[in-house]
Amino acid sequence: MTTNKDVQQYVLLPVRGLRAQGRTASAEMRDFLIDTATQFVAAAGPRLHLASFAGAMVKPVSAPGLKLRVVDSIAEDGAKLVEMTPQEATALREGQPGLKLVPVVYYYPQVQRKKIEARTAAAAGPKIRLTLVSKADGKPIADAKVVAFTDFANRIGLGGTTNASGIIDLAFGVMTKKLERLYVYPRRNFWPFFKKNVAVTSGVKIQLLPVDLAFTDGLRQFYGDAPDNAGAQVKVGVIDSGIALDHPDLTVMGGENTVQGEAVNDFGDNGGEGHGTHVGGIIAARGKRPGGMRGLAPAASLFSFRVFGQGADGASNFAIAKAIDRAVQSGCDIINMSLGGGPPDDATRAAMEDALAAGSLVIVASGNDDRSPVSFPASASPPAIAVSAMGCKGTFPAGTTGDDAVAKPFGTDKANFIAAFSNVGPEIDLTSTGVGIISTVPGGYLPMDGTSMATPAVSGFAAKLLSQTQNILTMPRTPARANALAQALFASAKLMGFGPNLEGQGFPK
Amino acid sequence: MDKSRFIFRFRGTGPIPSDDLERIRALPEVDIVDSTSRMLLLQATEEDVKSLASAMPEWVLSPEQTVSLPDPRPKILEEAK
Repeated sequence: MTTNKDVQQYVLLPVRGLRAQGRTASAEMRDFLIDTATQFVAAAGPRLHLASFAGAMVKPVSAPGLKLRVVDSIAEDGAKLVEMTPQEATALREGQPGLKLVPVVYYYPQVQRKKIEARTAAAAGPKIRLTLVSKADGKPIADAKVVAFTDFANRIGLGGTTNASGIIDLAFGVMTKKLERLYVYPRRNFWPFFKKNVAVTSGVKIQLLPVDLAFTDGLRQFYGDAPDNAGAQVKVGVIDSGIALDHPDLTVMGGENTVQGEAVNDFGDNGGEGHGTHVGGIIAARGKRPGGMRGLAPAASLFSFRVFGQGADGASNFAIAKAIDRAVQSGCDIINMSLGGGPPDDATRAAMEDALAAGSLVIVASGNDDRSPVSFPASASPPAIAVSAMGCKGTFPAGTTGDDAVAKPFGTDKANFIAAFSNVGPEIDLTSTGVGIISTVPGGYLPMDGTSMATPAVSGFAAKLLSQTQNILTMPRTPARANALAQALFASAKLMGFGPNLEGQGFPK
Repeated sequence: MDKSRFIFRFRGTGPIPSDDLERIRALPEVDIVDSTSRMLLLQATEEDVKSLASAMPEWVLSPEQTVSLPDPRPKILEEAK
């Protein structure tokens, strides 16, 4: 049941600007904003102030059962201050992808405040013991990340990592009878776990499904198993957290570490969660099922440009721009960037423009902020090719994190959906499979979700396409070559029924 | 005024002109932390680099900033009590 405390304030506005005007404003977006303004005027008058809002305006919108309250408006076709629950906000983002919905933020003076010492207080309370075991043999699963929410809408919960016995004790301060959502992320060789409304007694035993490389995930569903020569004569640069050089399915031809203060030739995995190794595997892993994993362009030459430092989860824009330059100098035809976020910056944009001018195509993830606007640098499109993530029901087992990514709208094939986490907007150029994708990680294999996975699917497909298209492959390295490859990629794309803000020109295959 | 780090990227044709490089190196208040064939990572005050950028139109200036891996995993914003 929705209560007043569930309702939050948001600003509803076009993806670009404060009013639905100009080239990027669709008629649907404009009509929606005008319609909400009409409701606002009819109910309370245009000069209504927040303090005098009587809560009389209840506006039904396109999604069934969804209501929003229009509190204030800057113009008929302009931004609105609205109130709704987080669940309704999610539904609205899905129903109106051309609009941006951002939580209202209040700024405070930067005074020192005491932190909530929730963990100290909680330690004295009852504990919930979670035990992770393999569904295959019952053996404990160590070093898995657990995230347990008691109040998902407000992101209240506890998390941690399982010990050698596969156990984690979550010390909630009061007796918790239910976990609203439980996520488990193993390091390798098991599917990530997801379940809503987990009943809690004294303990919970979770069985994780081992990864079977014969399973048909999204990559195999849409692209099959690539032939040995796919991607031949093509170089692909991966700007990421490094690629595990000792993985049996991967051959890294070269690269560079552009992190300041670290060894230049240390472009292997950075000791994190194997993000770059996963990305590299989707593009060019050379294994064969069921004993190994195969990417979309196994004959492509893979280059690793590491921009995330040892143990770091942030990369400087200098390291990224330098990595783009180095990838171009190494002759990379395609540059994959499964990264983003933060304000736009001219240096990264200039490096991407220079790469395009030198004939290299830069393919970038749109970001994973739950249908938010496309993040930078993907938002710099062009020169970037921006990629959203699509999922397909049946290509990930039930009870895994893929379930959490399922969201409207569904495609022409009702099994397909744009992932709930994917950023969307007018800058999206293409979509590809990015939910429950099995690929290489240090020491094994792991399914991952993200626009980070959809992007290398496009890069791998582009490498295969370029390899097969001799008239582009033999062109001199000029902007015309990169543009010819981009046009060939767009020409190969099939519309999946989501509309341009979610899928751009479609799914290349 | 505190010094920060800025990226100074050459947008002209060809390599970085040696005159430009000498001009930047000659500034005692601007430190070159790192360099590539097209870029310099500078440590300087914002006032100094903006002054430099306004005098060198073939260069673009950006503050150094951090980019993260896009992670779809939900985050705990508040620990349960």
